[in-house]
Amino acid sequence: MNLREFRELAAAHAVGALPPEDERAFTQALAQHPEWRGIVDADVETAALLGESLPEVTPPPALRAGLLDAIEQLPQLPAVRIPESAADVGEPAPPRDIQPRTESASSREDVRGPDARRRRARSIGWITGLALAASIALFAAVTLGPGLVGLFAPSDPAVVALEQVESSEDAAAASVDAVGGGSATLHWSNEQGRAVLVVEKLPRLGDDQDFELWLVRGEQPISIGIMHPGDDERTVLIADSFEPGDAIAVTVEAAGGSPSGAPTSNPIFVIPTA
Amino acid sequence: MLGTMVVDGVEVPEDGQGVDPVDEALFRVSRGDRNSFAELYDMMSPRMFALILRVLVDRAQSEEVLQEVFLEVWQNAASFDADRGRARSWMLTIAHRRAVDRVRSAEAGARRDEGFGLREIHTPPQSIDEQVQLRVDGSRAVRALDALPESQRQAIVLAYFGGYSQSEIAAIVGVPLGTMKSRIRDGLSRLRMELEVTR
Repeated sequence: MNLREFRELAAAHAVGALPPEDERAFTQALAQHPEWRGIVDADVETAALLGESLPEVTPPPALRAGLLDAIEQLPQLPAVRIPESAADVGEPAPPRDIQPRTESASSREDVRGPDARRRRARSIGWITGLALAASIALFAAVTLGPGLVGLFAPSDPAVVALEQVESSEDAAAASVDAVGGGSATLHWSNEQGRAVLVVEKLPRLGDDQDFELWLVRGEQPISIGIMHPGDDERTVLIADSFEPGDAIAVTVEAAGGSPSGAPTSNPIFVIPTA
Repeated sequence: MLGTMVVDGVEVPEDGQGVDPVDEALFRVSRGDRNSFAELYDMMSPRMFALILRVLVDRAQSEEVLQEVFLEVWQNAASFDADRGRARSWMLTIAHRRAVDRVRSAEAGARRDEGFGLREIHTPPQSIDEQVQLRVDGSRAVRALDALPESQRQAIVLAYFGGYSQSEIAAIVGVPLGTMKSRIRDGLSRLRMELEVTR
């Protein structure tokens, strides 16, 4: 995809005019070109100014009271932030347990210079890909304590998504144990193009590390964000950009996610869906 | 002495150097501060409701969406990244996206069409004028919008306020999809330029 095509996608994304398949193309293009992030932010900001220009309409007071009640028991989610570009997050973490496998990456167009190219070649054939999208639609997460599923079922997007996936005709699920402890179960529906990951009791990480989630499409890992699961909690994560055949993987990365946009360590688990 | 103006009921310094109270409130909300959530709601809900209502038309559904959006804001406040934009833009973006999601769902689309008939893609353009007409308060964004060539203005308004996809707009207006993509891109670029000029 060239910059001109991307600008069209970014503008249409900002005004909400993209159909789902184009949203996916947009997300993938941004994953491959994190340096285009600024274009997206500027377009989104411009569109929001339009939204701000409407005369105010005060919603009914009962709605406010209902919301204030609802949040009394609604847990907040950990930050899901995806680094804007390799340059934004400082020096890349030293790669661990990664051996060069291919030099063929140099045949690909690379706008970030030889250093990025070298990192990519080193990353077990996974090409550099930074996550993105306007992270909201792409990725939603909720941490659930025991017994909270029923309580928040009506409004919680993750729980609703889980129910929807489980009720689809082609519902599938797979569980794996994670390296270092804990387990993960992926529920998915190819028909719905949606996957919901439930992780439990993953090992506790130091402050300088985060779990990073990846959709692995073919050989390309696409970061869908970082997560901070609690010790005894189940964390439910929705991958709306899931496509049939994708695998879901989690790696341990430097805090804030892999600086290069590609995994720097072996996954603690991988769940294939093909 | 520094002048002040009132934005959403809260005084902020006129020179624009002051911190937007919405940014501050969202930051406190991200730390679990429920009082600040109420404050954030009071500052932003009338604008967000206006936007949702504009896209969705149906009032009951708009109330539902507003509620969902504020729950999302509560849950995801920590994910707001101040380096990438303003808190009010972040919140309006969520509101807009959820409203558009809802309008694209079949049921809402059908209900809205009773009022506008715009999903009938062969509807003559007279109903578009109604849709494109913005009854607004002469704000900076609207003045900027007025500076756009009519074809671009129409494309932006139908997409952003109408909740139509680019292919639907192309069909409504009767131009090829490629032309419509360029119009949206050029329109938004021009809009940004106008906004920078009038800042």
